[in-house]
Amino acid sequence: MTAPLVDASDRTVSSRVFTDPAVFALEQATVFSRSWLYLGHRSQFRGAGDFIQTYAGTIPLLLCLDDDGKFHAIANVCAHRGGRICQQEYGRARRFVCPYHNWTYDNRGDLVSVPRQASTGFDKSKWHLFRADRVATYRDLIFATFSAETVSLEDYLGEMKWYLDLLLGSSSAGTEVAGTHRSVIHCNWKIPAEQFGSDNWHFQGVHGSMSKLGRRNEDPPHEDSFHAWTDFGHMLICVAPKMELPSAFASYLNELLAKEQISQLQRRLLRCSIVMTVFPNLSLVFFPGLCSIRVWHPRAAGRTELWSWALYNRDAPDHIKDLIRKQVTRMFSPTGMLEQDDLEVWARLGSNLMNMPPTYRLCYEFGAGAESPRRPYPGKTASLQSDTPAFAYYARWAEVLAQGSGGSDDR
Amino acid sequence: MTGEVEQLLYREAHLLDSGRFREWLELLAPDLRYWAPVRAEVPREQEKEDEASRLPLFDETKASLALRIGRLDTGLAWVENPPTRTRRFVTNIVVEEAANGLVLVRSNLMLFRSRSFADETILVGCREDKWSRSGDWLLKERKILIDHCTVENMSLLL
Repeated sequence: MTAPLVDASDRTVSSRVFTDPAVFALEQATVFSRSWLYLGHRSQFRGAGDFIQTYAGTIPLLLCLDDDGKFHAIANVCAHRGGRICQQEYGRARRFVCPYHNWTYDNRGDLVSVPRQASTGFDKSKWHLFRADRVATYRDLIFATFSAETVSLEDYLGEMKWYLDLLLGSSSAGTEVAGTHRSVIHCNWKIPAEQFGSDNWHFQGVHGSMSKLGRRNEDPPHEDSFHAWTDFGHMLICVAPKMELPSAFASYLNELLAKEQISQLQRRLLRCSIVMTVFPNLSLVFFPGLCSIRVWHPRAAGRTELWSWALYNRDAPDHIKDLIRKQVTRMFSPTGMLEQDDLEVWARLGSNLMNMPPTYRLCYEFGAGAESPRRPYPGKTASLQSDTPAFAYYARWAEVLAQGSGGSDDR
Repeated sequence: MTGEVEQLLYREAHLLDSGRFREWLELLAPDLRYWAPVRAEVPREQEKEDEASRLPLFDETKASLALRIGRLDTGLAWVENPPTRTRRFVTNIVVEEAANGLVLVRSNLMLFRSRSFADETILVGCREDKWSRSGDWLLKERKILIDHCTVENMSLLL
């Protein structure tokens, strides 16, 4: 077992990256501890005291908005015996009482009271909930990191911010989400994360049914059809259409352009399909008239939970919101015409990898040499079908794995 | 009437279990709404209150269902290639006549789905139907309350 998990010399990735419980545990302690993890969207909070349940890696988490307008990411795990302190998916509460022994916490995660406190020298301040080192927001997206060593969220997103701005920055009113779709994926979480950030190629095979029905409009050799990847392991697919078809959504984009809420260059790219993964497990998918946020929650080496939402401008007209809600539901819900074939193909490959010898390695060398000319867009770019961005994602993953645990909670 | 509705639902289940989707389409009214809300882990009243603002699990028309069936016919829809083996159990049927020739039908559904060599799931839910009986029976609306908060991959037809 001396072969590296990710080998730059022959551009291969070990199947253990997707199957080995020890690797899964290690990436929880490293990748999920040291990265900025997407936890929720600003629009899921109507006011102070609101909370939602989510996960940070495998850790069950509460994301809470306190009375000072600050977000706190606290484990839904009592410091006493590990009881679940909050039972609801979302709601409003300023106190969480563990049903096991009634230890009571505020929405910052501090222990505020313990019934029958008769233990001399018991220091409540010591027994706050396990919590994130920092919570930060970028354009309504709320992230947290558990490591004090992690760079700021802005620096972490880096050049990817330009692409996030495309999807999230066209209205000063911000965006809102509707959801939550939850489904089980029977493979490792990195398989879908990789696909969403770096695999336009799969469309031809997995979604052949949609092509056959005439629902594919792509121009792969176009300058605006490319893969991009940036520092910290983020990656993106952009695919230009053969021609932009007139639609209600195209008219909406033209209005945003006329009002100078988007630039000419942004308008140009927003006729394309744009799919991205923010390292490690956040993806966004945009087709004209469809936009969705998706989080690949790791549950076990071979099991992932997908939580996803429709995303649109808060001040978009109702017919645009309805269009996006409908399209996201039709294409990308667990019953969606695109999603259901992805889920099937992922489950079959997930099962395959589990059943192969641990020495089995996967190929990431396709299109490795073919660096395409630079485009007027941020990040490094390559032509579609290149494995280079996907390999960069795994190289970054291996690098963070090698840094070891970056846990901030010193207990 | 109850006996007639029972037979209708059993025949419908048989068409779906046999992959006779085109025949099944003939049971659907042109203005059909066929939808399923997503479930939420909150108190019952709140789940009901927020139902419309949440994104549904699916929300189909007769035309979009026809498109889905056309997709299966391409032979490239991997979710049903090879076809899954399904068995629908429809029970707890309650029938109530309403105005305009509509019949409200509530039923429970248990759907067993088997794919590949040993990959098996069970899906459980409750369906609230509106059937029209001016002439042939036609399904006008079906709301399916699926009893799963996190769902397995589902082919579609419930």
